[in-house]
Amino acid sequence: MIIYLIKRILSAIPILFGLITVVFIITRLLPGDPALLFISPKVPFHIAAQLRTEFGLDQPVMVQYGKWLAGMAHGNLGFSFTHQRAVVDVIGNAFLNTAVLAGAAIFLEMVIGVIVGILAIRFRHSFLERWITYGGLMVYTMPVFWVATILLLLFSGLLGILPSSHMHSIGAEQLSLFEYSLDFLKHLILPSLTLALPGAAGLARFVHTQLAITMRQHYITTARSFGLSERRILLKYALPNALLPVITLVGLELGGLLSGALVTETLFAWPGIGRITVTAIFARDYPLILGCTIISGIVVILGNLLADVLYTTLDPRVKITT
Amino acid sequence: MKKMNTRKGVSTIRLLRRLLQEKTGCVLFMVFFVGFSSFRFDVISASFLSVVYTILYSIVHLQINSVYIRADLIEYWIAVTAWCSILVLCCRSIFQKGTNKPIAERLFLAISPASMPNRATVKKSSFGIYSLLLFMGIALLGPFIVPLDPTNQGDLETTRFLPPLQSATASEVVPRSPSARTGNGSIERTLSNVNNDLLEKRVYFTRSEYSKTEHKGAERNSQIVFLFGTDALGRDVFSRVIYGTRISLGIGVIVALLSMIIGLGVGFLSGLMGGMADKFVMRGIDVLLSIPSLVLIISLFSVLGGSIQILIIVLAVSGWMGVARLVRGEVLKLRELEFIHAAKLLGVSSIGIIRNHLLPNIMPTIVTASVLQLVNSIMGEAALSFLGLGIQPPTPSWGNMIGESVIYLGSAWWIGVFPGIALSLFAMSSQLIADGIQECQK
Repeated sequence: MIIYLIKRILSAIPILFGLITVVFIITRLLPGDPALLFISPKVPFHIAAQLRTEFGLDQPVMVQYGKWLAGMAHGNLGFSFTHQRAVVDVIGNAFLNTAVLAGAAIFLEMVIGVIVGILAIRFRHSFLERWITYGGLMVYTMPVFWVATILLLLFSGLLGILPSSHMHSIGAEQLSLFEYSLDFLKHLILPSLTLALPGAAGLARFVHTQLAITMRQHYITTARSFGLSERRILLKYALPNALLPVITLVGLELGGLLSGALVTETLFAWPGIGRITVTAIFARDYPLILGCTIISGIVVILGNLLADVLYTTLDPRVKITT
Repeated sequence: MKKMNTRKGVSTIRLLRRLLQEKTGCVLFMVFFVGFSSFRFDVISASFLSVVYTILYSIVHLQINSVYIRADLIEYWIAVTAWCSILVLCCRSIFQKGTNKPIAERLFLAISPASMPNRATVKKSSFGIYSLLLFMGIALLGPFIVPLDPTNQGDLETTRFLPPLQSATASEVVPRSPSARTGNGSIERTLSNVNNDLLEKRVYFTRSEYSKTEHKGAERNSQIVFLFGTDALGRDVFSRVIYGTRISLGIGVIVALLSMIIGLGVGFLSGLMGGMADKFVMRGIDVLLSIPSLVLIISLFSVLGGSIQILIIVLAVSGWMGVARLVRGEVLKLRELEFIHAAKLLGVSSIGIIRNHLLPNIMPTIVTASVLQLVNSIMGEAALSFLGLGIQPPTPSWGNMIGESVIYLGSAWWIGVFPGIALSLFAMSSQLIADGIQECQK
């Protein structure tokens, strides 16, 4: 087991290395001279040349690449123009906010997806199953920003019960701890639901088909012939088998979740990585954009790793061949 | 199964099933297109004349005069060509013998003769195919359907934020005045007259100038109905949704084609070569897939700069990995099967093996992947435009229309809801087709 773990972690390293290289290539695609981004065109030529030497831009590409790698190894992602701080500091704060949002979204996604999937199987061959199938398909194919628009229209516009943006209300610092967290939860519902719904619909589709396959297995027929109730069969014998691949699915969906966070955070003014990326793009703050790209990539790689490891530890049938 | 089919009498279900059959579908399409064409027949005939005279002009003068090949005219030429070909295709299918199957069944059998479609799958996918065809028809015939120019702003005081089905008088909708152009030769003069006529007629109700004649005065007081309402600048949302379909579908189709070409090429090469090259390519794909798609698109797009060509290239470059992986997997699976070995032993060339043995077996995968690729690229473009990075206003696309509408959600819901419905209907129909093809293979 430990050998497998080490092997799996080692196999993630070349991908991480490749990710950093890809982002380096993107910086090479930047139009013009990166040094010119720092300085105004009025600066005399010899000072610009001096700056170029200082940044190491006159050295061969391979040397620059080596320095880039060394910087990455020290966790140095560069310096943000707009925030006037190191990129790592800027991202560090935002990362926590995104983690909270994504965590809530994954939780909602799994709860909604699994429950809807079970409902579809429990009431199979009825109108409910058909409604769940087609409704689920519709939500599954919706882009995140369209889901957000609908939710805003319903809960924030028509009903007016949930706030439409930001993490806290104005003046939330003076509230008591309980009221403060209630306020925070209220602000969390819409963005996390936006992120969760398309994924949840996909998950429900998946759980539905998995359960449908499982319910045709022989051991389910055996359980039925023993006279167990349908509910017990479904929840105790069929569900655990159908749920295992869900872990892999959620792990693979992490990339989609981060893509969605880009749109959701911008729309709901949630101060996370996605919003920082978008504002950085409008401000042409290239180090920050590339830093966000690297961080998102690392999160996805780690997520896939975690899903793989969890799957092998939870499923006793998986034989690890080392 | 057979008994159900031979049952006598008319039931709703049988009628509905009829609707999905090819001939009925074609008749409905004909009725739909001829129906809306009768409203704008003057524009259609004007563009037809324009095409005919331009061809005549270039034959007589044996040269192509760039003055008469203009972007705003080409739009109408394409539309009128599409109009004629849709008419011909529909007629052909209606009068052809032995084609009256549900359209999805024909598609499935065309993709792979081994597929076994069941009735429920065919029903679902037929709906998807028809709605996709409708979208394509709307995109191609857009100039003939729109009642107003999509960038045409009305009199802001009275025409902005009009809810759906509200109307305004034509004089409140600001007219455009195309510049008059006259030539020397007789064909040339006729051609420029024809073109001017087309440019004048193209916007419903709003002729070139406010004329003093009473006839035109009456026209100015007539009512224009805004089917989907108007947006913050008094532009017709219906026209914008239809032109948005053109932009979104156009970009989507080009991007999907490009990324399918890259993906197929890489997938085939990597699957057939195997060994170190295959491993290297697959690790590269892993790396690219590890960056969330939208983040990759946005960082590439922001670095390379923002024209439509760059947008298309960036979307294609960041979308081919999934296809390549899928195709490579299929090739690896098929490569070891007996019939491929047998073909090799018989001395079939590798190109022959790919064309006659590999491709037909991978066809369902390829078609499914390209349908989903189309949806993905449209979604990518829409997300970018939504954030204000992709297609720039005033050019409408589904994404930037929804993006513009977010500020007015509380007061004017119709601005964003209609493009949103179009977007999700399109995505859902494509998904239905893809699902159908996959279900048939089991």
